[in-house]
Amino acid sequence: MNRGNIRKYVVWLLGILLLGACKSDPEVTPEPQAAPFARGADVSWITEMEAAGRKFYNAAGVEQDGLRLLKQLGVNAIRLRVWVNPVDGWCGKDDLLVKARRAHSLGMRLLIDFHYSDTWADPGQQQLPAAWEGKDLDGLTAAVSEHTTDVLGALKAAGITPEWVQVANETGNGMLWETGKAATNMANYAALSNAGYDAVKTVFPGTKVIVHVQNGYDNNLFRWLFDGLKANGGKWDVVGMSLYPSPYEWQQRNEQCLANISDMVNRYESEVMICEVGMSWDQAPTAKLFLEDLIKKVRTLPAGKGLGVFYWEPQCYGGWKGYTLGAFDQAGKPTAALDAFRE
Amino acid sequence: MMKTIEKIYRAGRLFTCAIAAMACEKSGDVVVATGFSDAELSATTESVVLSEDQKDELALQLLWNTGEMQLTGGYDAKSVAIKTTVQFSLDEAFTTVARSQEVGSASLSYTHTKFNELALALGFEPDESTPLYVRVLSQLAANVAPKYSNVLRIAVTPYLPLGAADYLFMATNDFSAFPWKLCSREEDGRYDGFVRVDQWYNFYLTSEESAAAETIYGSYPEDGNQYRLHAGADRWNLWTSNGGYLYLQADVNALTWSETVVQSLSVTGDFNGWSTDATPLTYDSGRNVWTASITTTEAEQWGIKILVNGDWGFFFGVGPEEGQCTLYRADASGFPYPHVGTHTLTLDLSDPKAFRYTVD
Repeated sequence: MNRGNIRKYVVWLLGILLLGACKSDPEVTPEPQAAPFARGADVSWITEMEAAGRKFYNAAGVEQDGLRLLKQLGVNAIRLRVWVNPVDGWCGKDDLLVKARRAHSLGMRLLIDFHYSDTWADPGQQQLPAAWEGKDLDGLTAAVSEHTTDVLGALKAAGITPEWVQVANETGNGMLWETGKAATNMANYAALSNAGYDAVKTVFPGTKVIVHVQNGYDNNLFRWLFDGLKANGGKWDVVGMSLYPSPYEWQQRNEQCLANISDMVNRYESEVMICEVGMSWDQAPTAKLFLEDLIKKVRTLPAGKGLGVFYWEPQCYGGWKGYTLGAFDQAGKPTAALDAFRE
Repeated sequence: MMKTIEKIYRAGRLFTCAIAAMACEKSGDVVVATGFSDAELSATTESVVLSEDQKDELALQLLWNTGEMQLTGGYDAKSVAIKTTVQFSLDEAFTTVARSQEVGSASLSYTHTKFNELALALGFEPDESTPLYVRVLSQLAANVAPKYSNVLRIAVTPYLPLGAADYLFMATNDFSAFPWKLCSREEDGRYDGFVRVDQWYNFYLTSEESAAAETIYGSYPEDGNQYRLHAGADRWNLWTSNGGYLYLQADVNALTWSETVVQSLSVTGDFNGWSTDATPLTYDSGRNVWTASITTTEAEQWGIKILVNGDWGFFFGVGPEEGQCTLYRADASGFPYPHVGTHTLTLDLSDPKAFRYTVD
């Protein structure tokens, strides 16, 4: 058996496949059914990583397109963040569209994550985009609406409908500080968040809007924030959560998170999405247990209220940006943690 | 090994027969391979003016869809890989493919620096807008005719980089990446630099970051000539049997090169009694720098030196300006270190034009 023979055999196999066509199936209308569970990954860094020469390899060491590789590992949904006017262009509208089109062409579902900032928005900072400095509440709600419409309109023009849109990121203390800081002005935060909500529904009426808060195990925080939003007429379809437990506390954190999820479902009749998870790449066996347990808990919620779980930047490896909670090893191959995403 | 291949072959043959048998098992239940179509290529811009001020900013992204191979009937086509190559040309008809790059990802992103390097390597004049044509070639298998995407025209205005230096780039064997470079700081044909590669690494040294570089050095195509440079078309590739962190020198006048394995880098000064090994630097592969923690009680009156392999005749000492150190092979002063207390010294050898250090 030499290489020539293998090649001949492959040609023969292809020939059979290509000639094997007989007659196509008659059109069958599928039964309507609940959307499948989202086994997701946020891969927003991928184009920047590729430009820096990072490559991705499957378990056999064969280089692959990173998104295609994740799909093969069972990932069926992609989350992408978008910044308003980022300094280097990465995660701006154009870069978002490139990644969204790649995911879409692979048949993967999309969650678009608006930060409403030129850089990271998280519990530590919710900086105004430079171009929005000096705007009052009315000016900011208009800007939120315009930016949301602009980005989603570009996706729509590319024939892409995101299944979920996240209005602002990790807003445990609101967004667009100081105007939209929840602790000081919950009404302002609700108005800004609603501006995003309404813009999403105008472009994509069927898309679900997520309000996303850090520390998914912290029920007090979630009650405080969502009670506050509700009291101020805040709108959302899905409660989003982040959960980054240490390898030593994940069981307790998962239990706390499940209790929080159940409370969100009962208290607000919301659906729940775990928008971000992660654990140190070199703790893969523990990370796998953590993910399997979390996916099981979310997936088996009554009435399908648990929509999915997204791993945050799993394709990170080799000290990329100093981030160590990815799920690829130093050689650019997926770790066993991602086995939890297989169907 | 042969046995395993034989087994795979047998299993595969069985699988194929199974598919063939299932193909028309019942009416309408057929297996059809679809999805290998002409790629659709698009770009984020049709015209780009590159600028050194924006060098790390995103300049242009190319995106294509080669289609997804699908087999009807729920059969798994994920092993059917489509190979994609992005081709650049100076003429719309692609009479000459100026650069060809195999790509594993489904898009290519360029910063201003990277796209500028590409444009200059293709011979574009700085500060002039010149059309560049791009297409994507996708290939399913050697015997299936390749498919070509639409051709995109992008008007590119490159810039002449400040401080351009006389480099030799270390190209991977397939010219898909240029991860390291050597520099001739005196522009005298003698190049050196530090690289980190695997054992038995195969490479070339090129005058530009391009497979179409004007000069590509390999080794002389005859056994026993590993360290002899040869630029003829019959060249063999260069290789290192060592691997790891290496100091490479190449002399394009003498047409030779050499390698020195870097076993250690260590800081020495008054603070450690001029020890050759008490304060080693650690390599950080993520950032591609070397670091060491140094504790001093007073400013170093003679400065500090960083010894390569503990050798007093092979070290980094005083440089032309602050933040830079020079590699010496003879006696010279250390570089200034006025800091007191515990600090991290970081040494960046990635650009041999200037070896840089910082203290935090």
